[in-house]
Amino acid sequence: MKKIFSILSLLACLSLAAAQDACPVMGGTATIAQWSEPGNLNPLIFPTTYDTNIQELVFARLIQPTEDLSFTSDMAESWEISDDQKTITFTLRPDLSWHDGEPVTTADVAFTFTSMADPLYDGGRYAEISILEGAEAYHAGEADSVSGINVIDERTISFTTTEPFAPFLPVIGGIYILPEHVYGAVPIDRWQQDITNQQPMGSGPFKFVTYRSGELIEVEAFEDYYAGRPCLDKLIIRFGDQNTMLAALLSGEIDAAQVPINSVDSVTNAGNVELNVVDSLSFQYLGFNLRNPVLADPVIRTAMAHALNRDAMVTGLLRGYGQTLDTIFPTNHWSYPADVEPITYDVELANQLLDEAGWTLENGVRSKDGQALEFSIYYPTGNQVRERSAPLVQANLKQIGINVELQAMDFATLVTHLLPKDDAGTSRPVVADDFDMFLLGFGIERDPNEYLSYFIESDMPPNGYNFTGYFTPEVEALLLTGRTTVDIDARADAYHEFAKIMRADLPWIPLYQQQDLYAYQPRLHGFAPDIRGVNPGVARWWVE
Amino acid sequence: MLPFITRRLIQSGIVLIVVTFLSFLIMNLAPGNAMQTFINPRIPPAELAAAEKALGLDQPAPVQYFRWFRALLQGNLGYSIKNGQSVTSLILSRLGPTLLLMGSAFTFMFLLALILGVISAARPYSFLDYFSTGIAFAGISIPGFFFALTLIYVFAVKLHWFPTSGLQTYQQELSGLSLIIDRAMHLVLPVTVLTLTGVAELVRHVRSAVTEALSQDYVRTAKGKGVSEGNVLRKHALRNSWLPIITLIGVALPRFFSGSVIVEVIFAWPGMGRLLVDSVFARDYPVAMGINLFAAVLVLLGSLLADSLYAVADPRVKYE
Repeated sequence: MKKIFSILSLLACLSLAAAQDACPVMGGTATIAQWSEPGNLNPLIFPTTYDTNIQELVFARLIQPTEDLSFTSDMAESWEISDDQKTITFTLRPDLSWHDGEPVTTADVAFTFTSMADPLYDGGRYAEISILEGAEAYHAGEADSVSGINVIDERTISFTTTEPFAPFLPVIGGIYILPEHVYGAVPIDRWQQDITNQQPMGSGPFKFVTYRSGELIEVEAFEDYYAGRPCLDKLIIRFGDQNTMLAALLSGEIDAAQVPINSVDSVTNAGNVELNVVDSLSFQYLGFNLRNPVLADPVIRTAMAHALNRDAMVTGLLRGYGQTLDTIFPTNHWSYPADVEPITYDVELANQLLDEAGWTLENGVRSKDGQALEFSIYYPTGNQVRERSAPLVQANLKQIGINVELQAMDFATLVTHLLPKDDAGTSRPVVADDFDMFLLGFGIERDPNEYLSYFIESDMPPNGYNFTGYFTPEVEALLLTGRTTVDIDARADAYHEFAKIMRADLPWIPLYQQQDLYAYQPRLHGFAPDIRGVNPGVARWWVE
Repeated sequence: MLPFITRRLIQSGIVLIVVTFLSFLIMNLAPGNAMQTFINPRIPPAELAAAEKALGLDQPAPVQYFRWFRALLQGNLGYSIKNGQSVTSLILSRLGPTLLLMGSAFTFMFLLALILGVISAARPYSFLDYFSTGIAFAGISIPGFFFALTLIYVFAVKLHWFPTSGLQTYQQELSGLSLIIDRAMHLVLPVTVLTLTGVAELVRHVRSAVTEALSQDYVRTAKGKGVSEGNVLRKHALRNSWLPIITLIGVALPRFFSGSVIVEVIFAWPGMGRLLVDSVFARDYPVAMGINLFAAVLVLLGSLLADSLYAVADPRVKYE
C-alpha cells in the first residue's frame, strides 16, 4: 500500500514542479475579499470558515483534500495504514521548514496533536482526536503523553486509534501543524490571548505579514515553500460588507470576491469581471421537533414534503444557481445515493395523504380530534436566500391546510431553542415546546461521519446535536458502520442505505443545494475556488 | 467653576455605572452567547459548554457584570471572545480612523450649518433660504445607507472619481504627501454622507437661533444706529445665538458613534462603529461593553463641556 501512495505523491510532486514552471508571471500583489473578519488565527481555537480561509494560506497539514474528496500529500510525502486499520504512519517530506527557517520535524506534529488533548486545552477540537489511543487518559491528566502518538524518527510518526476509524484521514487533513518552538512557548490556556493568535506562523505557501483590524490581512510568498515559491509576491485579504466588497471588485480595487446570489446581475452586466460558479457541499432543510406528537407522524411530514415547491425556490430564490435534492446528503458527494426516490411537488397527493389520515379541512386549516395543524417555523437571519424561502414554505403549506407562523431570529437565539438550557443555565434535553420546525443549512465539511451526532439517540441534546429527536436502531447501526468501515465501497453502501431511510422518514425535508458564486478580475489567473473553498491552488495564482 | 465641575464629574461617575449595568443587562437579555457562533458538527456541545465555563458565560448576568466591573476598576476591559485580543487594544486600534472620519465630518457639518443657517436667517424666504431648507429636508429624509450606496455606485463604481471603501489604498506602500492625498480621497464619500445627513438638523437650529436673535430689540437699535448689516449679524445676532448652538455641539458628540456605525460598515471603514456592530453580532460582550463605556464617557464629557462653555459664551451664566 505504501508503494502506491509513494508513487502517487511522486506524481503529485512532479505535477507541482510542472505547475511551478508554468508560473507565467512571478511577483505582484493580488487582493481578495472576505465578508467577515476572522477571529482566531491559531487553527486550534474554534475555527470558523473565515478563520480557516486565512489559516490555509499560512499553515500546511500532513495531507490535504483533493477536489474529488480523497487525500493527497501535503507535509507528509507518504503514509501507510496498518493491516488492523488502527495505525497510520506518516513520513514527512525531507525539505520542510517553518517560516522562520527552522526545520519541521515530527516533534512539531506530535506537539500539535498532543496539544489538542491537553487538559488545559479548551479550543473545542479535542473531540476530533479523542479517538487516539491514550487521548482520554492524557486529557484527564492521568498520563504524561498520548500513547497513540508515536514519534519514530525525525521524519516518521504514527497515530494509533482505539478502533478502526474511517474518517481519520479527513480528521488529519483538517489539522494544521504548528511549530512547537513558537506555540509551545505559550501556555495552552493563554493561546487565545497570545500574539500568535493574531500573527500566525506555519509552513504553508504564504508568510504572515500584517493584520490591520477592520481592514485586511497581508501575507507574502514563502521562498522556501516545499512546492515552490508562490507566483504572487503578496496576497491581501480585505474584510467588508458583501455589497461594499462587490462594489470594490467592480471598481477594480480588489481582484476577487464572493458574490451574493441577489447581486449576480451586477456582475454579469458589468462585463469587466468574470463569474465563477462553484458547487458546494451544503444544502438547506426544513427540520422538525419529533417530540411533538403531530410532527412525529410521518404522514404529516410526507404531506409537507410533497406540498413544497422546491423547484420554485431554485429558479426564484437561487436564480437557477443550485438544485433540489431528494435526501439529506449533498448531491455531488459520494454519500448521495443515485437511486433515491424523488420528492415530487404534488399538492394533490399531499392533500390526499392528509385526508386519508383523517385531517379534515375547515376554514382553511386541517384538524383532527380538536387538534389543528398549526405550527411555528424558526429560522435564522443572515442568509438572504434562506430568509426569503421561509414565506414560500409558509405559502406552500397553507395550500394543504397547514398554518405556520414564521419567526426570524439570529442564529445564537435559534440555538437556545435547539439546545435549550434550564433556568440555572445548565443544558437540558429538548421538550416538545422548545420548537416545532426550523430552517437550517447543513453540509459535509470533511466527512459524512458528521451526521452521527444528528441522528443517534445518545447524542440528543444536551449531549449532541440530535435536536430533531430522530433515531432508530437501524440508522444508528448504519452510521456506526460508516464510522468504523474503512473500505470506501462498504462505507458508501452504509451511507446510501441511511440516505434512503432519511428520504422515507423525512426527519429533515431537504430543500435546495445552493452554488457559490465568485467574481474576479481577468488580471488574476489561476483563481479557481471549488468545494474545498476559495484557496485551492493559491500558490499558483498569478497576476498580469 | 471648579466645584461645579467636580460635582458634575461625581454625578457622571454614578451615571456611568448605571449606564454600564443597564447595557450589560440588555445585552444579556438576548438569548444565547458568543460560543454559539462557533457551533459546528465536529465540536460536541460538551466542549462548547467547557469553553463557556472557562469564560464565565455560564454565570448569571449580575455575577458576570460584577466580574466585569471589578476588572474595570483594575483598568482591565477584558478580552474579546471572538479573537482573544484585549478590548483596550482593539478599541485603540479603531479610535484613530473614527476620530479622523468624524472629526472631518463634524468640521464640515458645522461650517456648512453655520453658513447656511445664517444666510437663511438673514434672508428669510429668499432663494438661498429655500435652498438650504431643501438640503436640510433632503438630508433628513434620505436614509444614510441608501445615500451611501448611491454615492459609491455613481462616484466610485461608475465614474471612478473616488475609491469605494477602506481607509487607504492597500496595494502599494504610500507615505508622506501621497498617503495624505490617498486618505483624503478615501474620506470624501463617507464624509459627504455624514455631512449631508447630519447637517439638516443643525441648519434648522442655527437658523432659528439667529432669526430669534435678529428679532430682538437691540438688533433693531443697532440697525437704527446705522451699524452695517454684516456687523449686526456677526457682533449682535450671531454672538447671542451661540448658546443654543453650543448645546447642540454637546449633544451631537454621541453621533461620533451612532452616526458612524452605518457609514463605517458600508465604507468598510476600520472604526469603532463597525467594531461595535461586529461585536454585537458575534455576541462578543466584552468588546461591546468596552465601546459602550467609551461612548458613555464621551457623551458625559460632551455635555459637561457644553455646560462649561455656556459660562464662557455668556458672562451672565455663573456656576457656583
